[in-house]
Amino acid sequence: MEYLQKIDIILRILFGSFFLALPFLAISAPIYQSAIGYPNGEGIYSFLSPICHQYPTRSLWILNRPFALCSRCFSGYLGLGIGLFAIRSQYKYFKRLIFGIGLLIPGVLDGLIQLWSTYESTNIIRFFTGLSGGLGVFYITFPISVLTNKKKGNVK
Amino acid sequence: MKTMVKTLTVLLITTFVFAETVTVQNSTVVAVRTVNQLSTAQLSLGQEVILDVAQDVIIKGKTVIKAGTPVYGSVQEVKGSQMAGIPGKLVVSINSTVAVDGTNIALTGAFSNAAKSEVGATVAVGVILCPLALLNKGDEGIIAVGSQQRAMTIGSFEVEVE
Repeated sequence: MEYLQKIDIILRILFGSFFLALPFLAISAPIYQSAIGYPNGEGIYSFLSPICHQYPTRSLWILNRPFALCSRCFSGYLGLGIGLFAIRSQYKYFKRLIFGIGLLIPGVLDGLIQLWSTYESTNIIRFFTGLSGGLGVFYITFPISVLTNKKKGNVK
Repeated sequence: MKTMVKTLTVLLITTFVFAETVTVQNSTVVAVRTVNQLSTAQLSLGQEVILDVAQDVIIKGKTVIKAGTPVYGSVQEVKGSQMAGIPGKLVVSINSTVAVDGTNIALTGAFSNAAKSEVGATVAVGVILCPLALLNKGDEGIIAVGSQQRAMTIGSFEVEVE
């Protein structure tokens, strides 16, 4: 089914570009502000504020300024973008769902343990659990599975 | 007398050797955090609000503003919720904090919150079902405890650090 392959590519380029643009913007805000000076770059912080709390202590910093997304959101969107561009899953949806849920668990646990105890996560842990969560979301939400038949080269 | 002079000399030398002046540049980022829940129901215009520094401000490896240092803010805008589902709005401006050597550091930044408007739903229910629904008050503007915001220094400051 060639048309499915085309849809797969279009969806990946469209959503992949969008989700990779978010972490790119998040990094560009502090760099831009540091280079040109405050209040330049505030527009990027404001633009991304509806999708993230942007707490400075929970964000990665560059040039003495925090990213415009917290470390978990940053790596989550990065993971989703990487998934869309780099992962061509050959499993059926049920397997991908299980795999995706498995990848989401570390991030969920990290957040819940923080909520229910005095445990305070670190930005490095947030980054990696976010990255794994982003890949998990990709596995769960991306609708097309690429099952390549070696003889025919078909996509189902 | 000699001992006193010696002691004073040692103290002076120690001060000069170990004290260092660090410049806090204009628009240095300071992470500010709320220490209490702030609500339009409790605050009035111009009221002083105490916040704190969420993490150390470190310049050239030296801490110039310690985490937990009080930050002084004030209520810049406060609009209580009203009937017909009109929401409350709260803006708290961040004004200043204190460096490790006691230097007053002027800051700019603000916490703001506007509750979701219920005007549409309230008016619809009030007109279609029961006019008493118009008595429904909107939600208060609330800034939760532990919320964080970036604040920037206004101007450069010389801070003596150890």
